Amino acid sequence: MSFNSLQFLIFFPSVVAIYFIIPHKFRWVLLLISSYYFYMSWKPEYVILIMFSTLVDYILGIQIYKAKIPKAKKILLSISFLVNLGLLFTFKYFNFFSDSFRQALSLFSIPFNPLTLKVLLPVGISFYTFQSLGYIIDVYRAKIKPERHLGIFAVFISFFPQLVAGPIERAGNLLPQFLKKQYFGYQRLAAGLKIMLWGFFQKVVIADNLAVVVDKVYDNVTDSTGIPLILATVFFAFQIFCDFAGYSNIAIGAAKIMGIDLMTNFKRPYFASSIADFWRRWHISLMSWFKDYLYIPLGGNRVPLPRWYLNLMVVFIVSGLWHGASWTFVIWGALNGFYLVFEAATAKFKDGIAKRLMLDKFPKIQNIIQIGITFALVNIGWIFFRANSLSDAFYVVTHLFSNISLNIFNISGDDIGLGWAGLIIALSSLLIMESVHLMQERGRGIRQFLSAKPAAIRWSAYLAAIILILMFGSFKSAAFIYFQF
Amino acid sequence: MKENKIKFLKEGIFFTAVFMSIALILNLAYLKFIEPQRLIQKRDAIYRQFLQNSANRELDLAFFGDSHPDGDVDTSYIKNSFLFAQGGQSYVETYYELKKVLNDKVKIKNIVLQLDLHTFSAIPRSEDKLFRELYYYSQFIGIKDIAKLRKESLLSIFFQENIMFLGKGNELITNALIHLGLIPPTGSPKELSKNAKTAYAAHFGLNPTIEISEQTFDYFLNTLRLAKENGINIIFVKYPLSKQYELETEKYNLDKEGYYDKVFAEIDKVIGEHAVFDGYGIYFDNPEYFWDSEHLNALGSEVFSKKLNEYFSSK
Repeated sequence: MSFNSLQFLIFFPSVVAIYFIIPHKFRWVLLLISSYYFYMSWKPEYVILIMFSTLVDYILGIQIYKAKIPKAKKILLSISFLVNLGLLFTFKYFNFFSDSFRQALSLFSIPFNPLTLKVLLPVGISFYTFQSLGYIIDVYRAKIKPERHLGIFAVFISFFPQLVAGPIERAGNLLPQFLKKQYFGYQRLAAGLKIMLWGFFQKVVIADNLAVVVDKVYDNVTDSTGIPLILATVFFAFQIFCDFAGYSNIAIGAAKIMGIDLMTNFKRPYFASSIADFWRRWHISLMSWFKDYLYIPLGGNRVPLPRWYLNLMVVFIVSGLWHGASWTFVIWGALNGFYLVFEAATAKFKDGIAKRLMLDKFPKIQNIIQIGITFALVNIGWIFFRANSLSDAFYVVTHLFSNISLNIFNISGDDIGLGWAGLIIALSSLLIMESVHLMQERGRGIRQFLSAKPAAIRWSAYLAAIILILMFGSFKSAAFIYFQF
Repeated sequence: MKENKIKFLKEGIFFTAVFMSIALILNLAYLKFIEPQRLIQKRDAIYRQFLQNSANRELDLAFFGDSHPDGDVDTSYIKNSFLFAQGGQSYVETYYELKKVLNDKVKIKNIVLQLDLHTFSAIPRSEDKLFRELYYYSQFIGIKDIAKLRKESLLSIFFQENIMFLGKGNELITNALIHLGLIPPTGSPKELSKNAKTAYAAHFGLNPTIEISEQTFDYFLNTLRLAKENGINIIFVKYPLSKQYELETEKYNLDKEGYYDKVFAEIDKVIGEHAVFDGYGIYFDNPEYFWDSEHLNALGSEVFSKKLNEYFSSK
């Protein structure tokens, strides 16, 4: 069941209504049943994987806490790693690694017929696996006490708003909220609905309309050169943002209505003025997970310079692999790691250039230039993220500026698959979204801005947003991109 | 807590009432201004006129099928004929359309059915593409049947049928742009070789074989049976395609013969002997007749329709 489906339109209000009607002590039962039902609407049998992970980490969490000897704690932690990452490897990476091994052997003319597992990738496996691993590591590090209530712990792993595409929550933040009695609150309900509305706008109006252009160009890349490739790549940058941030917003809003606060996942990433800044604003829950559980244990930046650079590369290559079992994702991750290393290594040199050009005296202009350069670099990365194969990605990179015509009006709306009307809608919606982001960058939230206005204006804005979503949204139940991860 | 709930209920009801009123106004506006502009409604208006004006309600030829007959056939060159074809029409829709026409007591001598390579292909004929003109079809097919055929819930069909402006904003803007003369009403002609790739992919994916949609084929056979029961003669037509489209089928080694052998074997079982007008390759050397790689332009349509008329007159 996707958030943008009719099923969810019935499912969610029903769950919320029952949630506030029944006593607090039974709410975990409702949340667990509804979360498993939500998940089972994709592939029912895969719920067993979540149940298994839940049970293993529930038992191991308690045993780690009870264990007196550090070595025993370590062994138990390793078992959890083995089980969780083993499942992830089997379902997500086995075929990729065996095929890559076959290809490597074929370079030396060694024939090898690898075993191929005929399994579908369980939706959201990377998300709930990381959430569960985070819990176990926190228990191991004695940052939190293990959850003794199996039902509550199962809800923590499978809480339906964030089960299939995050935000990847921390046990320290989420678990106590399930234990706390939540009351129905009008303000909270209204706030949650507004966040959901914004998420739907991002997903069905912007992302799904831009997807038409992106898919048309990227599914037959060799048919295009120049402007269509540039346009599709820039559109993809906004499509992936709106798709994923849209999902996160719907999840955050839905949880908020039930009194649960999930962490912020995006902070206007395309206003980032450096790659490091971009990664502080993009998929925050995953990047902070990597920071806490991989980057810092590797030594972070408190190590010799070459080792620091290596740490950055390792984190980003693993992050690429987390996104998908394909070399395009590995290269995307490596490229971002390289950007960060390069950025760190050339920081002084860049400052020197800025001073020579006297840009330091015009900080606004300097900031705009930095935002532009960061956006361009991020877009080069997105080419590898979106391309169907490495050869497609290299084709796009090498043909972005071939046969370029400055007269973009030579390209019709039909050529890029969306039609003029779709293009007008997609671009105006982007403009609306980026204007809202600009307001937020300047410290004025759209919700605060609207709440200061008279009710008639506020209601008109909400009604207009709903009508806009209904009229211009694409309702073909397009799946969220991040479900595949 | 209680105050909260009362406030929520009051404001919720008021907000819903305002929203419903706006939705109702938008629906009415859509019905009055946009729906009549749709090609299927324009064709239906002509059909209603025919029902009103024709004393004996007799047709020599009734064309059914998708955008190929719809774009390639100009009935002004074919005596006493009517075009029931519609872009994207599958045999499921053809069956119900024919049934409706027969219920209207129209006497048809011959029906002209499309038999192109993509006609039964599972990709363009997937269930979710059925009855896209929902408002039109729901006037003579129950929504329960539509839901069943589309494998969607009754509720989903109900919503789509009754909230007519749902997802139709683009159409609204397109109509406005056409009305203002900013874009041509029919789009622009396509480059044949580039379009052939897109058309092939839309018809067959990147596969060398044609995966036949069982549902479409069942309804095709039902259509043949319905025609037979009503004493209607059936003529099949393979519509013209460009050389560029043909080259694309060769590139993928599309098994055309195997496909037609299967189709004709089934036709033989239901109606026995049959007539086929094979227009597939007749304009391979005439790119000037094509709008895109698979549809004729006005000139091509005129030439082809005259050719069809000759063929029908000779029968």
